[in-house]
Amino acid sequence: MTVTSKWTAFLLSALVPGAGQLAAKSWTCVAWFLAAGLLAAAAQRFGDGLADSMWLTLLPLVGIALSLASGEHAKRLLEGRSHQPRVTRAEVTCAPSRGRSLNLAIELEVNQSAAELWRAARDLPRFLTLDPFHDEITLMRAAPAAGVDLVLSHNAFGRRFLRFGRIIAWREGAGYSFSDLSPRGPRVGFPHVFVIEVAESPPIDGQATKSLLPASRSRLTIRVRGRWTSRLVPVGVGRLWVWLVCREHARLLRKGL
Amino acid sequence: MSEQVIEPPRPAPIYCRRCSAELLVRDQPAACPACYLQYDPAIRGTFYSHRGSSRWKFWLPGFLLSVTVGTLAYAGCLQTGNMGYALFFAVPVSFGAILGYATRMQTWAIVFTSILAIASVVFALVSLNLAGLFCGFTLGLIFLVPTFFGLVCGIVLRSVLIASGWDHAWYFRWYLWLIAISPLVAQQIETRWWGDDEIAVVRTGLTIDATPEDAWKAIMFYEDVRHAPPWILHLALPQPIRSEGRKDRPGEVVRCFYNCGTIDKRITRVEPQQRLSFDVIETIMRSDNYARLRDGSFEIEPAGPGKSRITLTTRYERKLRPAWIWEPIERKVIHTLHEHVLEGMRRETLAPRPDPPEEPYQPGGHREPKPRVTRRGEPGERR
Repeated sequence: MTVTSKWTAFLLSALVPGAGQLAAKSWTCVAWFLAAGLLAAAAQRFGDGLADSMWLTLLPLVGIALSLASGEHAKRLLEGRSHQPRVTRAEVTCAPSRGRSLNLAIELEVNQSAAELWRAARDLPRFLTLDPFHDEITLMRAAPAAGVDLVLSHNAFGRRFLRFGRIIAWREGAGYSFSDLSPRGPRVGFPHVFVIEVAESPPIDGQATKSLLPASRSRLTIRVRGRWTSRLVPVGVGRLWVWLVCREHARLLRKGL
Repeated sequence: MSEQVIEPPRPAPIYCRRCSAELLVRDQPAACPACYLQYDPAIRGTFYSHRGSSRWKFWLPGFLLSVTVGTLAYAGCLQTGNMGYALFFAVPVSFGAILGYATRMQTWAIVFTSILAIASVVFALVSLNLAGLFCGFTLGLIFLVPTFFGLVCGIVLRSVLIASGWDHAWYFRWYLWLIAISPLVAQQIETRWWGDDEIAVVRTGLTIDATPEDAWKAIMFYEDVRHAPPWILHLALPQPIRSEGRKDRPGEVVRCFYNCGTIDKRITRVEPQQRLSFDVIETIMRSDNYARLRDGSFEIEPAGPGKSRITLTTRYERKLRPAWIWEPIERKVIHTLHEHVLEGMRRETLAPRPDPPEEPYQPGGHREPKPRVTRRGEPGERR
């Protein structure tokens, strides 16, 4: 049975509000169909009466907003969701950087021991697809290790494409890093590196000596370091875009971990 | 006796996921000799079983076939002169079904390809002069839903045939022919069983600041309006050039010239300052296939001091079906045309009347004053 991609659902709902929810087999499609029908009927019924009024200009904007909201809802229906979300805090920070370089970090506090978190993080095909655009991860060897190539299938707004990378470092139990490069080469198409670090959460002041039990809280840090290579889009816009993507990444991790 | 040497079967080739180069080492993990991307013959996802560049085979033949069938089926259906459900529904369902049946792509790609197929069919029809620009655009929008319906039917048919283990290639040929000719069959059935064309009437009114007398003097046909028409008339109707003939007496024939033909109108009723009616006696134009003009009228009635209410009426034979799709479009175009003519009349009533040319001075001479004749004297005098 084919699993509907979240971007397919997004595009379907963006075209016909409710269609993506139907593809996701959710009853909420009825509400979206109803909303779209009501909006179309209202436009038909009151369209003539609103001639030359501001509402006539707003009507298409309301339609676009409805389509986008429906698309986003359909997409979220198909996102991976953990039965017991463990992330207690998520923060995205953008470190100051010069020129075309980008340096962002996502920090998550997780109600889970570092060992358990590491078990989740080392399952690359699952963990790395908790990402807005990573669709499928193929490890080119049986087990992850430094030097192993990766094929990162991306799906952005319904368009699938491949990028290629390599595990640069692997420290068992502590973290790893890998590259995400364009098939055209390492200097084009936003080359970037992910650094994933898993650590015990630092004890809260005054509690360090209270318990001798192993800590059940840990911290996951994902650093994204790259270079904005596009000459068409200014680097400032690129930073904003990557920051928004990181926020979305953090949301997906909150939901999926 | 010579011993026959049987070579072991050559394993199917595998290709690199990045550069599509053939991978030669098949018994252990290795790297692509061209781009050095690693692969492991034991792990299925680390290599391709076909070359990346051969993917066009999955969509291009089906796409081209779909566009060809759509264009030919539309042209074939159009030959009967009947423009109804077969033309506007069976044709897009047919080429959509072929597209869905004969292509294998991701969902977004197939949606994009179907939109591209619609655009290609419309482009082909406009290029072959089987549809105008406006009709082509409208056709593209009308085709959307039936094409997607056909697309889903084609995909379901393919899935069912594959799941049931039938010989896909064999059915591919026969089902395609069946789907391709279905619009022509539907067209024949529709032509035989459908009733007569219906008559539609469109009326548009405007109250202007002019007496009925001035409004009567300003009466003009579409071909006589001087200001530029709205874009919808530019796209939907032939471009008017001029008209010849008088319209001040019943029985007069006015010939209206367009960039692609003529329309002859016979004046049937003239009631000064009240009503001017005409019949369309001959149309030599392609638009006659979509809607045949029958007759029309200008009615003027007083609407208060210094005001007149002008009502334009057009009666035409509807040729396009279904009415629930086409009638609103036709009404919109005719209302726009009426509004354009009414605006022309309104401007005409506001325009200053030209004075008669001043007579040259003749010393000592005395002449009878000439009656003041302006080009506004009769509606038929207008160029």
